[in-house]
Amino acid sequence: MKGLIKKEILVFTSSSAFYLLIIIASFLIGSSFITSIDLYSKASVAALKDPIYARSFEPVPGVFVPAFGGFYLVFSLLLPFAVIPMISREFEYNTISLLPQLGYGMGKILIQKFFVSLGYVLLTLSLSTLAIIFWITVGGHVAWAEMALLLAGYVLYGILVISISFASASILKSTSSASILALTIVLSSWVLDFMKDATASPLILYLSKFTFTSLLRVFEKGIFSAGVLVKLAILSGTFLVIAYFMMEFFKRKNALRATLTLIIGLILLFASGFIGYRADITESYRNSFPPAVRSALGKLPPLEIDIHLRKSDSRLVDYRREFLDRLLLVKRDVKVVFPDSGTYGLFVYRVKNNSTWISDSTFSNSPEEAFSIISTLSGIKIPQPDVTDYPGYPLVVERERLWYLKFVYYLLLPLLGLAIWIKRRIP
Amino acid sequence: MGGDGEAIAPHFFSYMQIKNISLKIGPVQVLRNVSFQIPEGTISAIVGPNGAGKSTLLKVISGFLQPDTGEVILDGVSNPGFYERLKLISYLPETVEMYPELRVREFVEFVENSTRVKSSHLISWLGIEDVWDKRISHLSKGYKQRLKLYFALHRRTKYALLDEPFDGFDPLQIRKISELIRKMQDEGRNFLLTIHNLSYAEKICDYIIILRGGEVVTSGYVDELKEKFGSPDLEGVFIKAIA
Repeated sequence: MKGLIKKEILVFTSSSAFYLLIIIASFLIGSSFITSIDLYSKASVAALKDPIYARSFEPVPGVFVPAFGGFYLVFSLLLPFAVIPMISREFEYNTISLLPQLGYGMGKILIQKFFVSLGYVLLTLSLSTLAIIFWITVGGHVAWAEMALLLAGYVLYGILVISISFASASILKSTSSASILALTIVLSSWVLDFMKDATASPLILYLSKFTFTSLLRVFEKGIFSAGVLVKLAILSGTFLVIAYFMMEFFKRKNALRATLTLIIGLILLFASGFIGYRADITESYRNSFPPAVRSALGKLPPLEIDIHLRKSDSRLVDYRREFLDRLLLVKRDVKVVFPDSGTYGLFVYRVKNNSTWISDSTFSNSPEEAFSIISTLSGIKIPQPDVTDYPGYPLVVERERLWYLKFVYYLLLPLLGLAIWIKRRIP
Repeated sequence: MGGDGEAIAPHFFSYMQIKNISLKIGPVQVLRNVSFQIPEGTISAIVGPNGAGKSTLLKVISGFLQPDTGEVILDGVSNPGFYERLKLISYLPETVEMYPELRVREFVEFVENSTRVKSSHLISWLGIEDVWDKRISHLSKGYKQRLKLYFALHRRTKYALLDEPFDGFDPLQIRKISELIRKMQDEGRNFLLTIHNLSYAEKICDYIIILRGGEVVTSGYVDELKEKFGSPDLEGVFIKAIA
């Protein structure tokens, strides 16, 4: 195993794609960080004088999530080109027929290649370390739990792209064809995600729940979702098992096994929709409600909400964002129904109080109105949701200090990558 | 002798038997009911015109391709499993590019760390040390071929299946490699080669299988075949056999 992993590292670090990706990533990540910090800084000027306005300044969504968009581009568009040759070259050079003679089964080969690729994803993500250090050095605040979740999301996304790339490479056994297939899969998911905002098609809306971007977005929001975690694990696992079967030598049986794996993977993926555990791990509870509200909501008796709105109605979109999605994150047993009949625009709240259902309704979609009705029906006092202890962390960084980041990301890291690349290319 | 069902000579102890192997790839019947036996301790060669199925047959014997029908019997075991088979067999495909990104030293270390077998004598014999720190992509065709042979020979398996092992060598190198193979044969190793050049096959090999259109035309010791076909050399045998 030691021999194989050393070989994998040596071969991988000899490829041009390895260094090219790191160099491009350095520019992209650096540019994203510098832009994000600059914009956050400019907006912070006013917030420093206004404590209420300051509450909306959160460094993770304000700086790090936009900056990590660079990793999203790198992983989606470039990572397949770097990792696909790890498998496709074995077939193109026919070295795949040598490895079993050295005692390596396809499982071992795949695992070693997977771990080397994972190391590469971690190395790429480590490019953010310098920006994080810079942020702390200039007095910036970091919500570590949220930050760790964001990084974990990108690691899982990287694993998914690796798995797709490996499956493509083992199916097509050619670097160029496999790159086209892997990019098609990744970009199709991307396109589907865009389409959901421009269509009313129920099928596209349903499928868009499973796009890679939408799964990653949950991590970016600062929500830990067991369902998303399981979905990503199923997707990655399915692609890796397909890669394993398609790497084996006896093709007829393996194509059948790979097809069965895909079917089982899809069934598991759709079944995983029932895993509902989610937790808001942001410091500001921006996805749910402050602790006092959460505590009151936890004491509520069974609650049902009838919403007489089309799912595409903008009032519903606001209602979901400001109230319903937050409520469901805290109280998962709330039953939400979209009845076909009734007065359009009406929200009906029903609470089971002493084994009797009592209800009230409103045309307002405001959270305050909803809390007021629920509070009256249940008899439980719910504090106003906008009352929060979160102070916010605005920060003004002088533009001159950004030269440090420019030097590191635009010059030092690319030059370092280039130097190692040239050294590895010496005959 | 071989696929035509002739009696086996008394001195003939078969270590490898191929029985009724057939393989169709897409619409093409690549191997048709191929049967032959190879005597113990020989250097054997499969010869035949282009497209005869020589390389495919080696792939089937080494387990990299599954035949539609038939048996490969090694040491009395019928159709041993893929990985069990590879414990007995070293297989060198004709078309293989040995990790061009690696240096020769790195490749040798990889092979030796994986198999835990040191082959310094083999490395010296093949002259690989001369290019020790060179990247494989920068080696000449001859050195690349030596590296392939190093891979195929270093594990000291009982059987070595080499597909066109002399491709890229000059006559002097072929003589040297032939000596090496002979020496290994004396140590109890068995070789099955595919060779395009019949004069080399005649010099190096003891036993010949002639293949045409995926079928065994004839097989036997070189002298027996010459006598059978009334030809002074293997080339004459080959021409008469496939005519």
